[in-house]
Amino acid sequence: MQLWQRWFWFLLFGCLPVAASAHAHLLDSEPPANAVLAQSPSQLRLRFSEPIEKKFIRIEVKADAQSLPLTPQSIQWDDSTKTLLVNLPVQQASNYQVHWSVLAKDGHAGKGHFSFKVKP
Amino acid sequence: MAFAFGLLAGAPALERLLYPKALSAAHGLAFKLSGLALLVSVLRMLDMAWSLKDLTGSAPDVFLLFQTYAGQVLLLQAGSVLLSLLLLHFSGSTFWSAAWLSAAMACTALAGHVVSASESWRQILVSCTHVLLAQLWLAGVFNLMWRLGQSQKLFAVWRGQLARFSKWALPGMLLMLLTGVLLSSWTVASWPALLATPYGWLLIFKLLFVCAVLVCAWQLRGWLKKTAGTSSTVRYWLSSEISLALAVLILASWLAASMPAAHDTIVWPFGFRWTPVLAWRQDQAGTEISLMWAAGLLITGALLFVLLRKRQAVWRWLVFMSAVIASLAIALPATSIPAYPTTYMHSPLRLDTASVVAGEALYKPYCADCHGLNGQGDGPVAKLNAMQAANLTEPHVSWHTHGDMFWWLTYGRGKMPGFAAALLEEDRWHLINHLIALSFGYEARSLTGIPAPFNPWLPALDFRFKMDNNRFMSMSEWRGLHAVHLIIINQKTELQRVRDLLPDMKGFPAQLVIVVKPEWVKDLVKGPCEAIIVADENADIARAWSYYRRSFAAPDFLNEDRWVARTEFLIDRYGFVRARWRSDEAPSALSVAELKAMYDSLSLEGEIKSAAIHQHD
Repeated sequence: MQLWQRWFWFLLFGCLPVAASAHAHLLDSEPPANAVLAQSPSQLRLRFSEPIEKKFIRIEVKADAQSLPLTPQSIQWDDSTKTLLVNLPVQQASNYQVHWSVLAKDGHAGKGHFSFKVKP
Repeated sequence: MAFAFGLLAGAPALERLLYPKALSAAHGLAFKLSGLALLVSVLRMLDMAWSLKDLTGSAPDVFLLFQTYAGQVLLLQAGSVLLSLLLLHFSGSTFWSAAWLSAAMACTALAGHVVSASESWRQILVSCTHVLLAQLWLAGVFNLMWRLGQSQKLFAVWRGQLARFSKWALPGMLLMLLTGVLLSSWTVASWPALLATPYGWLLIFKLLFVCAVLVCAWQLRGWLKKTAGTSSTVRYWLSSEISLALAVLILASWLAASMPAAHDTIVWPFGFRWTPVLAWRQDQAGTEISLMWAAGLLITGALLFVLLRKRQAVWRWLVFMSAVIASLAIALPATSIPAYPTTYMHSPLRLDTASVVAGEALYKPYCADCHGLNGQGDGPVAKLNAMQAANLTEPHVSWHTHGDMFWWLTYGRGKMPGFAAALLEEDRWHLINHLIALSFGYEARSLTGIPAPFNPWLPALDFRFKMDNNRFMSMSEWRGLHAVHLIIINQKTELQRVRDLLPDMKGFPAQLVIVVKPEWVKDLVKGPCEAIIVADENADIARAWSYYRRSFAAPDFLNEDRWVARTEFLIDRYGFVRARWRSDEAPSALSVAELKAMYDSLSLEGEIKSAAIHQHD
C-alpha cells in the first residue's frame, strides 16, 4: 500500500467512534420525586442526562390511580435544556405517579417512575 | 471490522509479488470477517426495532427504527460493510474495500454516547482518539499474527512490519492509556465508585488485561533486538497479545452496555474507608504515633536494603518488602475510619427547605432527648445516663458522609439506638437534611457581606415557588444559568427595602427573589416587576433559611432570635451562598450598584465545585 493510501485511512479514522455506555437518566423533575405539594401541578418537567428521540416518548401520569388523558400536543421536548414538558389537565388529586419511557439519541432505551403527593 | 481492515490495509507491497496466495487468503478471511460484521449490524437493527415496540406500543417495525438517529447510523454502517463486501468479491479491490470498511467503523462514532450526549469537544476528541488508537492497535496486531503464519519467504518482510508497528505502538499505547484514564474519570467520577460498582470492577479488570498486553509487547520488543530470534517465540507472545486484546475488547463492550459508575448506587463492601485527614482529626495522637512507627519501619527496611547489598538480591528485596507490608499494616488502619454499606449512598431527597423543616419536626420527638433541643449534645436523657451524645452543631457533622448518618440513624451507634422501625427511610433522609443544614448554619457564622473569591462552600437551600404563569419551578433550576439575590423578610417594615431596590433592577445580573408572608404580597408591588415574589405559605422557606442567619456577632446558640427582620443572601450562579446581610448588622443594605459590582466579579469565576449536595440535585 502506498504512503498516501495509509494516510488516507488514518485521516478517515479520524472520525472514529466512541463506544461508551449510554442511557438517558432522569436527573431531576419538577415537582421533585417524593415531594408534598400545596396544590396540584399544572405542568411536569423532567430533565434528562442526554438528548432523546422526540418521536419515542412514552409517559403516563396517574392521579389517584386514574390515568390522566395526555395528548401529543401536551408533551414537548426542549433540546437546549434536555427537558420534557408535560402539560397536565386540571384535576384535584392526592397521589400522583409518573411512569416514563424514552429512547436516547444513541439508541438506548431508558425508563423509570416517581411519585409525589398533594396535601389534602 | 477492525480485523478485516487490518488484513486489507496491512498487506505488504512485496506480498503480491512473492506470495500472491497470501493476498488471496487475506481477502478470503477479510470477506468472512466483514460478513460477520454485517450480520452483527443487522442483528443490532433487529434488536433496536424490538426494543422500540415498548415505546410505540405496536409490533416491531424496522422502518420505524430508521426514523431514529441511531437507526439511520446503523443503516449507513451496514450499507458501508455491504459495499465493502461486494467490492472485495467482484473486483478484488483492496483499496476501496478497505476504504468502505473504515467508513463503516467511523459510523459507530456517530451513534456513540459522546457524540449524542457530550457538549464538550474535548470529550469527543478524547473518546475518538481512544477508540481510534484501540482499533488501529487491534488491526495491526491481528494482521501481524495472521501474516506470520503465511510464508517463510516473507518472514524478513514480516519482521520489518513488526519493527515498524512496535515503534509506533508504544507512544500509541501511552496515548490510549491517557485518554482511557480521562474517559474513566468522566464515567466513574470517584474512587468509591471505581471500587464498589460493577462498572468499576469491569474497568479494573480491563486495566489488568491491558497491563498483561503491555508485558507481551515488551517481550516482543526484546525479541526484535535479537538477531536470531525464533518464530515460535514471537508466535507465542503475539498470540498471547491478540488473546488478551480480545479479552480487552469484550470487557470494553461490556462496559459500553453497563450503567456508568457515576450514575450507579454504591454499596460499599468494606468495613473501613481510607481518609487520613478525618482519621487524624478524630484521633490525632493515635494517628501520629502509628504513622511514626510505620515511617520507622519503612526507613529501617530501606536501610537494610542498602546495607545488605552484598547479599543475594532476593533476600534484600524480601527484607524490604516485609518492611513495606508491615508499615502499611500499621499506617492503613491508623488513617482509616469505619465505613458502612450505605457510606457512599446518595440521598433520594434534595437539600430543600421542605425537607429541612420536615427533618426539624422529626428531630424534636426522636433526637432531642439525647442531643438536646438545640443539638448541642445536652439532652436530659443523655445527662441522666451520663452519656456523651454528639454535639450536632460542631463541624464534625459535615465530616461524615450522609450515608454514614443514614446507617447510624437506621442501625444505631454505640448507645444510640437505631430508628429503622420507628422512622420511614424517607423520614431518616429528612432528618439528615436537617442535620446538614444545622451544621452548615453554624459554619455560616463566618459569612460576611463580602464574598470570598474562589471559595464557594455553603450550598443554597432549594425551594419551589410559583411563577406568574401558574407554573412552578425550583431555585436549583437556575444553577449554571444565573445568580440569585434572595431576600427573606420577616417584618413588614422591611418591605421598604424591596421597594427601594425594585426601580433600579432592570439589567441586574442576578434574579431577585423576595420571600414574604402571603398577606404582604399585595402591599409590596402593584403590578409586574423585575423580582419574583414568593408567598411563603407555611413560613417553611423562612424557617429553613433562618439556619443560615448566624453570625459571629449573633451566633444565637440558644435559638432565641430566629426571626431576623430581614436577611439577604448573595447566591452565585452555581448555587452557593457567597455573602449575607442582616438588617440588624451593618452594613445591612447595599445599593444596587454595589450589589451589581459583586455579582459581576463573581460571574468571572468558573464552576469550582458542584453545589449538588446530593446526587442529581
